[in-house]
Parts: sequence; structure tokens; C-alpha cells
Amino acid sequence: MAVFESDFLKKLEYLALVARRVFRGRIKAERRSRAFGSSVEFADYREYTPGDDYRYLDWNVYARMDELLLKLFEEEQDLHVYLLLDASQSMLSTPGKYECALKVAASLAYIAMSNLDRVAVHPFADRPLPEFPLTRGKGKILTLLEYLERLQPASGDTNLEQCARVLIQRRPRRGLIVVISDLYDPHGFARGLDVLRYHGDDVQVVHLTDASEANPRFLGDVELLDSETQATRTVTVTERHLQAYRKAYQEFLARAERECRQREVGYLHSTTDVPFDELVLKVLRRSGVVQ
Amino acid sequence: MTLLNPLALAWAAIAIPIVALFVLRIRRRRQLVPTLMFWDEIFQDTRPRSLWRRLRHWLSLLLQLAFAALLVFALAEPIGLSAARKPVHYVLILDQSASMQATDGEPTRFDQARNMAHRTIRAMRDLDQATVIGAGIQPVVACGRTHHQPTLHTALDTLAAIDAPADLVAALDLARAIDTAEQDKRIQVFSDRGGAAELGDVLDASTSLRICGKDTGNLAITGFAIRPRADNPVELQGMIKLANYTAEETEAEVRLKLDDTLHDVIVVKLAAGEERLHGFQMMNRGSSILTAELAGADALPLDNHACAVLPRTLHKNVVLVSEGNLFLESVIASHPWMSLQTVSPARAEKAIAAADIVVYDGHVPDTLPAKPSMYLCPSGESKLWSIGADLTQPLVSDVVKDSSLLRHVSFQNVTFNLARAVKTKTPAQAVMSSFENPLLLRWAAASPPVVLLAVDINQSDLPWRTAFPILMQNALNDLAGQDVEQPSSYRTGQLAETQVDASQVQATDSRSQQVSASVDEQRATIGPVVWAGVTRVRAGQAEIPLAFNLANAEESNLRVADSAGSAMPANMNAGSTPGRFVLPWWVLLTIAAVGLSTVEWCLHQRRVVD
Repeated sequence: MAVFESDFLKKLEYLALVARRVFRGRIKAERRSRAFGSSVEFADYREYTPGDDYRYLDWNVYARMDELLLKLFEEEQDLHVYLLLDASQSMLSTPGKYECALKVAASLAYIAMSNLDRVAVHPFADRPLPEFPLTRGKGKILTLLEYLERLQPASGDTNLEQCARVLIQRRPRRGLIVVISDLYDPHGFARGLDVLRYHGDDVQVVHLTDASEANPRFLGDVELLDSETQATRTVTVTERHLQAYRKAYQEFLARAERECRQREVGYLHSTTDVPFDELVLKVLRRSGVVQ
Repeated sequence: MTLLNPLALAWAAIAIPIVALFVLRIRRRRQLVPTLMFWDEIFQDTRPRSLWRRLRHWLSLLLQLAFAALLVFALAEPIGLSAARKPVHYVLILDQSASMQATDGEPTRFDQARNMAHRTIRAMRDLDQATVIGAGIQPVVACGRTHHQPTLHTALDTLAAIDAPADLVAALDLARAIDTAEQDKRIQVFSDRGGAAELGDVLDASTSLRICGKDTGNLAITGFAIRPRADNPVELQGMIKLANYTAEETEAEVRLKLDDTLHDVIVVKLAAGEERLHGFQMMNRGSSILTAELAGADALPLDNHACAVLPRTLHKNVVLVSEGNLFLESVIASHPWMSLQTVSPARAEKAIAAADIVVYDGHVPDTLPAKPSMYLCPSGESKLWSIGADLTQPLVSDVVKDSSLLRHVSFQNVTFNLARAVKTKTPAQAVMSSFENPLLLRWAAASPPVVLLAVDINQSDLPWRTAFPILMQNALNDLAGQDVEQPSSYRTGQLAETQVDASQVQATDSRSQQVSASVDEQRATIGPVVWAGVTRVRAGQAEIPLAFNLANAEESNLRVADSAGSAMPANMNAGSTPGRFVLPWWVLLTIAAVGLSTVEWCLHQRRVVD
């Protein structure tokens, strides 16, 4: 069954419209950068040097003062949005979680594209997976959706730090990095966040989990199989163990939020039973993922 | 131990799939988890497990195999060695006595006994048989020897406690008379006491007495009767016997009712265990039934009620054919139910036609009247007797003491001054004789009845004696057909007799059930009657009521210990069912298997783990 059905596309359009109205004046693609460019906004003069474009010479100044001065304009740059999508096997361990992550990623990408921003998708597991390059324009959304549908989770555990380093090296410039993951990173997701924040990017974390992960219901003798590493543990699960698990899991969620807040990283935790459009609009706006 | 169905042991093969499934199941089910981070954190301190934990799987398998073994064993129908030797024939005797109606059982003692018998039948093996005997006033085989349990259960359900005592000894004799040469016979008596004292001598190793009920207090009427006074039939003398079988002093309130109309209330205070006879008097105003009811409820309602039939008042016209005898006239006129007319022999014919009873004072008619008649010192002979020489100072040598004519009087060794020497031509009863000479004769077989007194009352002191008016009243009552010997009440289980003027009678008890009745020489024998209350005897157009009460102290005493007493047999068993177990082996094994299955489930599913 396809992840993105026709209803999904309609919801994307609806999301884009609603997002434009909600974030009007704040999320325009035209974002002034410090670089000079070819917009209509005058910035400064500088002396002419051979090779400059004659069209930007200020002929009036030359007529009055006999000096060749070149007019400089502020360059308007679009926002680069990098979606770091967790495509490890843990995202597949519970039904619906990976699909939810794909939809969130597609929704954010569409909203960004609708606002003339550039979007790139960088899936990762224990290593970077083939990414969707920076793309601009709403017309590319179908290509993006096709890419996401074809994207298969990779084997191996989750290693956010390594993927963050690769992203930093490859990205043309800083931007907004949205990490969509369950954060089950045996190497520590905080180190990955440190790398991203160190290089000056705005980082947002969308922490996706499933309700069954917080509250497992199996008892007795079981062989626990790690969905990422395929490691096993033969244990006897009792109610007391389940209580300890629930406590440990809640501590993990609290730690994730605390780590993000300490690094000034936007954090949002959501479970897969929340509809993705509600997640994208209501919950993401509240958490400030889209600015 | 032996097996009735050894082929069922083939089911032991079920152990193979159990082991196979266990081997498969011991490979633990795999549970996919997103990450082991949290589980490692939890289990990092609990790696080394106890010996119990390692053995638990094997214990689970052992329990499953034990479960299967028990079921297979149950299917094979094991029986004990003693039971395997011979099929058992159970003879179940249910005490139907009145005390079994006591409501300290389930809800009554009889219900409790019946339930115990049901359990015994359910515990029978296939080859066992049973006979059900109801022990009432006579033992009755409710169900002959059979192994068909539904039939036995149905027979048990048809039995009920009666209002009479039971003859358990006869029931035991009947049970022993059943021939079970090829079987091991076991007699079980289900009784609240069953007259344990009387059973004590007859119980043996093959007989067990199973007690129902418990020690219960009871207040009872153990006797009730009423009769007319001998000297004044209009006045009645009553007797009620009350018994307090409780452990404390109790005030008994008895309500006397005449034909359902309250007549009197008697209050008697009885000490614990006391029995007291209480007398009372009342006038006979023509009522028919007197009932006594104990106020309040106790464990045995049956003995809180008693009834008695009041003497009938038969109004008769008596014609005295006499030249004049003041003593005789006064005696007859004193009878409350008799109307006297004195006529001379010359004018007697017309008066006799309208009379019910004729009394001849010295005179003998040519033809004896077709009415009940009495002859005092007859002067001549008739077809029934002849007259010889006078007897001077005859001494009364022989009397029929139980004759109704001599009720309340005794003439033994009395000497009269003069009497006629009478020779009977037809058989007559010599109620009083002076050696070979009868002094008082009664022709009961004659129709109508005739009474002859040979004593010359004019020449003797007999009229001066107190006995004379009583003798005359007895004679008149006898001739009037008034059965003064008729008891006012009977005990249930007794035979009752009453005088009837018919050759056939029908009797219906208080529950409208027909009662056995027969007639012999105008005496009807009724019963035995098992239900308390008024039994009505229909003889021709007449209906005669007969009252039956429990009136049995042994039945009313509901204290088991008292009734069992020291004669409690050694094999008296108050709780267990026959054999060594209540339920068949296969049921016990199945229950054990289910228990083991539950334990195994708890272990395997790890609901009960450290």
C-alpha cells in the first residue's frame, strides 16, 4: 500500500494554505542574507573594477562627480531546510511509525517548497543513506514523494552523530535542520545534536514514538530481539519488570527533552496515534519547528 | 487397586504430543522490540537466576504429564481392592417416622436422609446394586434391587415422612431377608435416631446407622383424650399431656377448639424435660371434634396439634314396662339422653311401637319386641331363655371385666338376695355369673340386642348400691348403640375399631386418602392410619369420625443424643457415605488433574514468578 495516497496530497495542499495563513509575514521564503545580490533593495556603492557589469554603474554619479561607482544590492536568499529522517529498523519495529515519519517529512518539505525554500532530505541509519538533494519549487513535490516512497530503512543501528557530520560537510550553507527520529541511538543522540548546533544551524527534533513502546504488554519467557542490531536477550518478564521498563522509558523521554532544551534545540514528542496533519500544524507550530 | 477399563490406559499415548509440544514450547517466543537499551538497563542486575527458575520448565512438564496420567487413570476407572472383590448391594432404609419431619435438616430430617441416600447411590459403581426400603409403620420396598441409578433416585423421591412412628426393626429384618449371596450386602439405615436403643442389638458389621438432624428442642402434645363422666355423661373429662423437650423452662399455651371455635386456653409452665398431664372439664353440647393447638412454632409442627372425637349424644325414647318401680324409673330418667315413658304391661303395646328401647321390669311379653330390650328379673321364658327355680343368695363368681355392661362397676364376690335361674336357648354372653347360673346375659348376635338381668331388684339390695345406676346406664348405652368404649383419639399407626351398623365401610384419612377398613360382627377395623387428623368412616348413611394424633413422646423428643442414648451402636456413622470415598475415583482424579492443570498454567504462564 502506498504511503502517500491521493488524500495525502490534498491534505498537503490544505496544510500549505493553512500554514501560509498561520505563519503569514514570518515564514516568507525571501530571507535577507548578508551577501550582496541582485535584488531591488539598494545596499551600497563600491568603486568600479574592470570586469564589473556596466549595468550596475551609477551613471548619474559619474556625470556629476566623474567617478565610476558601482551600485550594490542586497541579495535575497531562500531558507535551506534539511530533513534528517531516521530510516533505521527501529522505525519499522512498530507499525505506523515509519509511515508517520515519512508523512511528517513530506509535509514539512511541501510547506517549505510552497514558501520558495529549498529542501533536502537526508535519511540515515548507522550511516547516511542516499539523500534527496536540495530542491526548490512546489512542482518538485511529486518527485520528493516518489523518493520517500522508494526509501527503504537500512539495517544497522542508529548513529545520529555520524550522519550529522556528513550533513555538515555536504550542505552548501547553514539552514534549518529537522531531525525526525525515535532517538533510539545507542551512541547517544545528544552528540549528534552537539555537532549540528556547533555549526550554527537551527535544529528542531521531532521525536516520534509508538504508544506500545512505552507500555509493552508481553509477559513470561520471551526472547527479546533488537530490531536494529538483531541482538537477543532471553528474559522472563514479570509485572515488576514491566513497571521498571515503563519507568525507564519515561526517564528516557524526559532526558530527550532536557537534552534538547539545554542545546536550544526545538523539541517535540509525539506518538504515532496523532494524525500527521494535526502533528504538522498544531503541534509543530506550538513547538516552533516552522518559523 | 484394579482397573475396570484397562483399555483406557492406551490414552497414555497422549504423553507423546505433550512432550513434543513442550519441547516446541520451551523455545521461547520471540518478541521484537525497537531497542534493547531499556531492557538491558532493567535486567543488568538480575542475570543469575535461582535453581527454581532453571527447574521450573521441567516442573511444568512433570505437572502436565501428571495431569495426563491422572486423566488416563480416571478413564481406566480404578477401584479399591476391597471394592473390586465383589459387587456391593446397598440396602438403603429410610426412616419415615414422624420425627423425620423435624425442620432441623435440609430442610427436614427426612430430606437430609434422602440426600444422603442420593449421594450413596451416586457413589455406586457400575456393578453395584441397591434396594430402597421405606421404614414406615410397616417396611415397604420402594425399589427392588437394581443398578439403574435414575430408578433408585426416583424411588427415593417417592418416599416421604409419615405422621406415625416407624418400625425400623422390621425394616432391618426385611433388608436382611434379601438374598444377596453373590454380592457384598451393606445395609444403611438413615434415621434421626431410629430408635437407636432398639436397633443397638440388631446392628451388625454390615449395617450402619447414619444419623440425620441434630439436637433440637421441641414442645409437644404427647397425649390427648376426652370422655364423658361415668356419673354424668353430660360432663366431659379431658386429658392433655404436654412435654417440654427443650433445655429451658417453657410456658406452653394450648388453645382448645370445639369444631374450630375457640373454647378455652390452657397455660402450663413446664420445666426443661418435664412431661405433665393436665386435666380439664367441659360440657358436652353436641360438638363433634375437640382440637388442641400449641401456640408458637417449633421444629416439629406435627405434635403441636391434636384432636379428639367427642362422645356422640344419642337421644332415645325408653319405654319402661312396669307395675311401678321408683328406683328403676329414677335411674332411667337420670340418663341425660333418654326420654322415659312408664307404662303398665297391659297398655304397653302402643307405647312400645314408638319406643327405641324397651325395659321390662319382671314382665316378659309373649313375643319379644323388635326393639332393643332389657329384661329385669324375668318372670317367664321366651324364645331366648327359659326360667328355672329361684336362686337364693347367689354369689357372683365370674364376670367379664371388659364388657361394656360392667364399665366402671365391679360385682365380683357380691351376693344378691334372690335371682332367677335362667337357661339360655340361644348363645349369649354371660357377663356376670354365679357359678353355672348366669346373672347378667347379653345377646349381642340377636337382632335387636337383648340384655337380661336375672337378679330380683325388688328382693335384693342392688338398687341401693351405687353400682346399680351405672349398670343401668351401661345397659341403656349398649342397647342404644352408643359405643362408650370408643376412644376419643388414637395414635397414628394404630388400628382403630368402631361399632357400625353396616356390612361394608369406607375410610378416608385427613389427606383424603383411602384407608384400609374391614367389618366383623358390626365392628369395623380401620387402619393402620399414618396421617394425623380426623379419619372419617362411612358406614351406610352414617359417618363416624375417628381422631388420630402422633401422641408419641419418643417421636416428639428431637434430641438426637437423648434418643440415641447410651445404646449408640459402634458403627453409627454421622457423616460419611458408604465405602471410603464420597465420590467415585474417576471424579476425584479428574478434580486432581484440573488442580494440577491450574498450577501448571500458573507456572508456565509465569503468573506466579519471583
